[in-house]
Amino acid sequence: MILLYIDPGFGSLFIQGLVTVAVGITFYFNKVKSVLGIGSKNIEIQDELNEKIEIK
Amino acid sequence: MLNSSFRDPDGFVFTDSGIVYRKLSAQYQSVYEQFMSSGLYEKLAEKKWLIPHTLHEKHADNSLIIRPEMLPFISYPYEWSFSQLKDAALLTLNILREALKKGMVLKDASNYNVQFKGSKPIFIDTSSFELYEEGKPWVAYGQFCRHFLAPLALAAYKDVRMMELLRLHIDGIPLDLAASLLPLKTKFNLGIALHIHAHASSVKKYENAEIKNLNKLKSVSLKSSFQLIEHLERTIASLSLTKTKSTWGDYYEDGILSDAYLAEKKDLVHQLIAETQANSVWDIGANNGVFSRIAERHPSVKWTVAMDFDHNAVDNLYLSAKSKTENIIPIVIDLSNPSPRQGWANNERGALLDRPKPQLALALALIHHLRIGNNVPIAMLPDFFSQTTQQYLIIEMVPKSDEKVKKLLTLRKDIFEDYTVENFEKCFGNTFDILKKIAFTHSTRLLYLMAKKNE
Repeated sequence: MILLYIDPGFGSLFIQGLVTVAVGITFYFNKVKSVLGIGSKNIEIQDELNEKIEIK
Repeated sequence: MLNSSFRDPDGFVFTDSGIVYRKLSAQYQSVYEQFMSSGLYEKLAEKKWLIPHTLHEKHADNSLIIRPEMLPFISYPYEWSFSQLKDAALLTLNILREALKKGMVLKDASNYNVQFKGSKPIFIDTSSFELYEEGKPWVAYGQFCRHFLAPLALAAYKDVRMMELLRLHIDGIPLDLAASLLPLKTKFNLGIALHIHAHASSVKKYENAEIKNLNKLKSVSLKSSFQLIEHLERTIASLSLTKTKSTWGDYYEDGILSDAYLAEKKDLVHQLIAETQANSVWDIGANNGVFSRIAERHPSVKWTVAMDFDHNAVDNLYLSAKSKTENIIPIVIDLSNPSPRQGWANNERGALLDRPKPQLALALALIHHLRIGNNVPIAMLPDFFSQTTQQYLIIEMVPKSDEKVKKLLTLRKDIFEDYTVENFEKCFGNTFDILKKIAFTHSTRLLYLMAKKNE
């Protein structure tokens, strides 16, 4: 039996497995996005648009 | 043993001749040795994240007594502003990350494990560490969410006054309560949706689970634990307060009578602090801390506590004191209902007035709010202020002719016959010796330096 100093609550222990899977997926997507440069590309496009607006 | 230190079987805090010690049990000795030999203690102490200690005694039964550095003033999470609690949360996660790197983990994540040393959070519970077991979920995850994430999310998405729920729930805000109070849009924020909404549902679902179900627990790898920490960090870092313009947060910018009055008051307060040579100060009703700073900069003053009931004012003061590494501890205190004794047997967390007193208390532009705003008779004020200081009091009397008092009385019947300079001096004169009385040049207000009468 696990003896713990604080009561972790079954719910907190059970959800942690699921939470870490979900968190792992978001980290994976963020990594893919950064490899593909999706986030930075959006910023570049936005910068280009801003420049065009200023020129007008 | 300190009244706040009975829950952890591995270590408890006690005082002897005014010095604080922590006794570590014999069964904790191997964990403590790993903590020290792994380099974790050195790293945390070097970063000033953990209170430093020295080994005081080693007993034959393997129990140890360590002597941690003493802090002059203890504050509690229900007295902290939003950014203070946020920094305490991020500190806890940083410490957890460093612990995992060294094969250890935090066995609890109580917000009471953090104190403020000046304007910097510091972890004080040296016996909160245990050996990490590969695959075991973090047992303190639920506690972390209750103690930190739930109050911060409620403050950010609902109202900063929701943080006052921490005073009622000393083991953190129950997640089902937090989930029911948070607005619908938080279900679309991945961090809040996972760590509060889904977490609350899971707690409810498994509240009557049988112990045999522990076998069904999913293993959580070390890599996943690091990702969990980072995700909690991102979720907490993304939370911010929507600060509305507050009366007290901007008092000395917008609300003050005149620049000349403020300049004169700064000068006089500085001179009076110098006369007292006090080593510690409580600034009661500090607003955004103009006078706390004057006290803090005085060479004799070692620590300053700035208290105000306005969350925004205290939060602004904390952020600015932190950026300048000023030695000021800002706390949120409602003087009409200051923190009481509470917790187990009404004795686990000390009342504000039971904590170490400073040598000097400042009560500037305050008593008209206590008398006229809160209906506290003048005769009851000296006793209160005598409990806020070991010796000196610098107090400002704001007479009825002052425009701020006139404003307070605009919509009220003047039932405050006792609110006169003569009665103020008579009542305070029973408890204090009035050492100085100074009339402002640019206002009808009066400034007093008083010392408590010898009992």
